[in-house]
Amino acid sequence: MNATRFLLMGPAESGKTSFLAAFWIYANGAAQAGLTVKCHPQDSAYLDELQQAWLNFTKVPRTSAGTERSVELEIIRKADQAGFNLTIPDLSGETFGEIWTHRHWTPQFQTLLDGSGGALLFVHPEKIEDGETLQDVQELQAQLPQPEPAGEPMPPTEKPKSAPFDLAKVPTQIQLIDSLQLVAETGKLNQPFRLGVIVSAWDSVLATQATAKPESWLKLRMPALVSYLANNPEVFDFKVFGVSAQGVDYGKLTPEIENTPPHARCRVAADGIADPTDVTIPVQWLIRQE
Amino acid sequence: MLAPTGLAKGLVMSTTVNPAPTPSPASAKPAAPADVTLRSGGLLSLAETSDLARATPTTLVTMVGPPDAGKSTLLATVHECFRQNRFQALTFSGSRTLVAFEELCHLSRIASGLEDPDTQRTKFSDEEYFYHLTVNRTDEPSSPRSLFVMDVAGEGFDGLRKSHENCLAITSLKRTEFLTLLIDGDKLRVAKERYTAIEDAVNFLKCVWDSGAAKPECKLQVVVTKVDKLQDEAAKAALAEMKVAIERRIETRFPTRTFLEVAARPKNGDHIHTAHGVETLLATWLVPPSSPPVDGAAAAALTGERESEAFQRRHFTSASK
Repeated sequence: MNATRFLLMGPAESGKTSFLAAFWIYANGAAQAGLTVKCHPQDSAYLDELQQAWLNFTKVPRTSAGTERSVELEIIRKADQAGFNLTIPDLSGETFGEIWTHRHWTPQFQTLLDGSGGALLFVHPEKIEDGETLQDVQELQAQLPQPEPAGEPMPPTEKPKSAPFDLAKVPTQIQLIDSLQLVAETGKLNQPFRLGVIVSAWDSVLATQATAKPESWLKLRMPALVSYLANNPEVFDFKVFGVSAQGVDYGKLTPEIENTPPHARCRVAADGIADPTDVTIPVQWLIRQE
Repeated sequence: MLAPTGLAKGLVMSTTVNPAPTPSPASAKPAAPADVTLRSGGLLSLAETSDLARATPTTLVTMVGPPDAGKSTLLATVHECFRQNRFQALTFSGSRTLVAFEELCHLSRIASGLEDPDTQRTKFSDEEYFYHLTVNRTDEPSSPRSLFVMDVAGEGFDGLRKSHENCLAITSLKRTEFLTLLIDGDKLRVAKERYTAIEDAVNFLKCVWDSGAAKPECKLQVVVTKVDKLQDEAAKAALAEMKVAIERRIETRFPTRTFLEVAARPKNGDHIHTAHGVETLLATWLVPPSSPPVDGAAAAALTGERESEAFQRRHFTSASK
C-alpha cells in the first residue's frame, strides 16, 4: 500500500471542504469514480458531517483555524488495483491566508508540508481580488460618452486621503504566488511538487462563458500565477482543473436539481480527462504513476 | 513533530525560526514549538542578494535619478505588467520582494481610495536595498535571469552628484552591470529646468566614474521618463539637445551607453500606451554580461516591438556606444 499525503490549500471559502465532501461521496460508491474506498474508515464522523450537508444542498461546515481535521482513507485505484493510504489534511483558509499576511506558519503545517506528495490549490472564481488600477478605470471611463457640463462648475472638492496599504487586499494571484514560493523555499518537498490547481464552482464560470477551458481561464484571470508555475517546471508539476463539487449554486435550487442523483451532481473539466463526471480525477492525477 | 533546530536546517536564507520562550519557574508546562517565521517579502539587503545570486544568473541594476523622475513608478509598472500579462516577450518566474512591489503599487490601485494614481516615493536610506525579479524570455524559456534593482531615493541622487565619498559609499555600484539614470522628461520642456537636469546628470555621471565607484564595464543607460509629455517638435528638439549635451560632456566615461525613453503611466493614452518602452528597457537587463552590449533597438526587436513603437524609437530615440 502506497502512503500518500497531499494537502488541500487555498484562501478561505475557496471550495476545499466542498471538494473533500464530494470526493468522499464519489470514492465511497460512484460507479464512474476511478478511485474507490477499500475499507470504511474507523472514524467517519467528520466525513459523515460533510456528507449530510452536501446531500442536503446546504453549505458544508467551513474549516476554520483550530478546527482543522485530517481525513485518512484507504483507497484503491480501479485501473490497476493499486492501493493507497491517503491522508488529506483539511487546512483552514485562515491558516493558508496567514502565510501571506502574517509571514509565518505553525510547526504542524511544516510537518504536513514536509514529504507531502502534492497539493490541490483552490481558487474560487467569484472570490478573487483582481487589484484593479486607477489607470484602468480612468481609461474605461474615457471611452464612455462624456456628459455635457450643466450649470455652474462644481467647486473643487478636497482630495481623498489614501487608505493604508493592507496585505489582505493584495491581488489574489500575488498572494498565491508568494505562498507557493514560500512553500517551495521552506518545505522539504519532493520536487517537482505535484500541484493541481482547482478552479472551484466551475459551473459559475460556464454560466457566463460556456466554452471556457480551466487553464485558459486561469491564464486570463491570473496570468502571473500561470507564468510562475510554467516557468518553474523543476519545482512544480501543475495541471489546472475546473471542478463543480457542489454541482449547483445552493441559492438557485430547483426540483429538477434536487432530484439529481448524488453521483451525477459533480463536473470536472481539464485537458485530456476521461470522464467529466468523476470528481476524483484531480486526486488520480496527483497519485498517478509516470 | 519537528524540533525547532531540525526545522532551521531546512530553511533558506532569510527564513528563521522564532526561538521558543524560556519557561519561567512558575510555568512548568513545556513551551509550545515556535512558529516558523518566513521571509518578509520586503526589499532585500545586499547580503541577501549575494545568497540568491548563487542560484541563478543575475543582473544588478542601480536605478538613480532626481526626486520625482519616475523611478518608483517605473518599477511599479514592471510589476503591474507582469501581473496583467502586458509584456510580449518576457514572462514572470518569481520574486522574493512581492510585498515590496505591492506596497509600491498601492497608491495606483482602487484599493487606495484615491482618484488619481500616485506612487509612494522611495524612502531615503543609508542602507542598500533591492527589488528582485526572476524573468524568462519567451524565446529562451529555460534561461531565467534574476534582476536585482536598487532604487536610489532622489535625495540620494543629490548627494551622489556632489561627492566622490558618497559614490564610493554605495558598495553595490562596484558590482552594478547597469547604471540606469532616469531623467524627468517633463523637466526637459522648459529651458531652465532642462539645463539643470543636464548639469545634474553630467555631474552625477562624472562623479561616479571619476571616483572609481563603478566598474569600467558598467553599462550606462540614460532613460528619459514621461515621454508622453514630449510629443511636440520643440520637446523632441529639447530631447535631442539633452542627449548631445550629455554625450559631449561625459566624454569617454561610460564607453557603453544607451539612451532610452519610457512612459510608464502616460496620461494621453491615445498616442502612447501604458508602459511604453518599459519592456524594451527590461529586456536590456536580461542579456548576460559576456554578450555584446544590447541597445534599445536590439532589445525592442527581442520584445517584438510594434511598428508604431519602432517608428517612434527610430525617430525620437537613439542609441550610441
